[in-house]
Amino acid sequence: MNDILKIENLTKTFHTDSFLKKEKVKTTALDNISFSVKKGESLGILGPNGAGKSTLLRIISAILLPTKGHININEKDLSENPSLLKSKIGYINSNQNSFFARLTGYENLSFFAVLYGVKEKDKKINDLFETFEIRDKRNSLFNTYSTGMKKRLSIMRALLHTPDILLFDEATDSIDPLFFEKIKTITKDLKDKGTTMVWATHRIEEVEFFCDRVIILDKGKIIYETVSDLSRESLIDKMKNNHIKN
Amino acid sequence: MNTNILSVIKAFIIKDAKIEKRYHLHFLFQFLKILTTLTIYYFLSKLIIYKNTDYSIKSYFSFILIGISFFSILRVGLTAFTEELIRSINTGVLESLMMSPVPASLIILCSSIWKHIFNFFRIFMYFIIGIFLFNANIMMPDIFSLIVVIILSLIIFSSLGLISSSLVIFVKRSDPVNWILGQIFFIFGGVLFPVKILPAPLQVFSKMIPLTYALDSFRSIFLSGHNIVDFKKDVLILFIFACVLAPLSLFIFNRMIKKAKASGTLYQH
Repeated sequence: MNDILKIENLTKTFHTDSFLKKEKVKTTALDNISFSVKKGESLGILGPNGAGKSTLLRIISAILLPTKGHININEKDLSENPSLLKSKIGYINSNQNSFFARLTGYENLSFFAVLYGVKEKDKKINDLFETFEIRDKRNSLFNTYSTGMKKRLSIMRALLHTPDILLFDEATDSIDPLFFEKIKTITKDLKDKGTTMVWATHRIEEVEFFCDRVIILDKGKIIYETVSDLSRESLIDKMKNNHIKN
Repeated sequence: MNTNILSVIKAFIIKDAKIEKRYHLHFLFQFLKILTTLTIYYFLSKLIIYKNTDYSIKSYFSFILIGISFFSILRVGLTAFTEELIRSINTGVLESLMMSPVPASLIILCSSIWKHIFNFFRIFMYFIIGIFLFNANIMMPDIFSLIVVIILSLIIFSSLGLISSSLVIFVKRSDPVNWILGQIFFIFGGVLFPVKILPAPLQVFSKMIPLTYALDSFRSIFLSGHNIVDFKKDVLILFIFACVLAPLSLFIFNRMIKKAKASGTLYQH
């Protein structure tokens, strides 16, 4: 299988400054990390809060620019054609409120479908409402949705344009246990169709259920990479050991 | 998969119109606001004997009607982008919009279209109430001249708004900038009184402000029944302002977006 996503020597530093203050505080969110993901693979990025997981996904989805390094999608550099490559990515961000509160769920998805140039958008949206079991809420205003439903709508939005790569940022946090099972079925179908998935999470069960391989990230560095042992105990051990070392 | 620019513009207009429709009392409040504003100016105008000979006008009220109704193009142009930008940063929608393949500048430009459409509806209401309730002396406009001046005004004032919204991206507040600009334009642009009555040194400010030329053009159209040939000097100055400000504002905005994407501050407020 070919690498669909390749990250090379990625570094991201933030400078907290302002127009008025001269002194700058430098924070390294990602420190020279490299990895690749194969087509149809499901990669977990596990790490504590502040490890750099969300920063990494934001850079892959081209809404944040890296300080150094390259991201290649299908062997094309993301920085050279972000608009084209963005249409290959679906990003479920951690903020489930990133919709228009005074539009219905259906109207929200319909709007975003136009931005992505989705063909036969009405059929696609109806199918998604069916699959995600919130068909009866499609004409309700977004601000009447529960947190779990908002999260479902975020996932639905990311699937609208049938992306090659799906990025999940703490995606199942507010999902109830019953629907968690449903997500497993949905993602398995997507995987069977060749969709590549990257899961950024601090929840080990998310990695256990959804991922083939795991990278543990801490303080912007990859501290461990595994393919064989994805058990809870083993992953906790790796994270704890690193914590003690530091 | 291909994102069509016209479809994107249409989607933004439909989205904003639907949101507007859900604020049921907004139309009524706008109507009442216009009615009370015009009532106040109508009775104030009764106290003022206007001696301007530039326009063949019969009342000061008609002069003000053009001033305050078309000043709104400037106000909306200045504030539309910043309001939308701040709102979408606060709700987290900006991040979702930026994830799409649509360029950032197009997203921001599209987010103001509905506000301008709604503002033209407000200007229309100003005219209807002004003419039918307060007998304003308005002449039938030359449509071509009117469209040219409206388009140039939209480009100029939206460009200023785009520059102002670039400031929002970095300093996260542009209300003071908009307020100061708005006040300067209001005083020196000839909204409520002709700039000729200002002391000569202050008239220099008026000559540097595009609003002065825009309002002069609108008054020539509606109060004197002139067409574009009669006020070609004003149109030429507006055209130069538009040619300079439009590319400059897009350049500044795109630079600021790039810097904010690099610094990670684009989605924070």
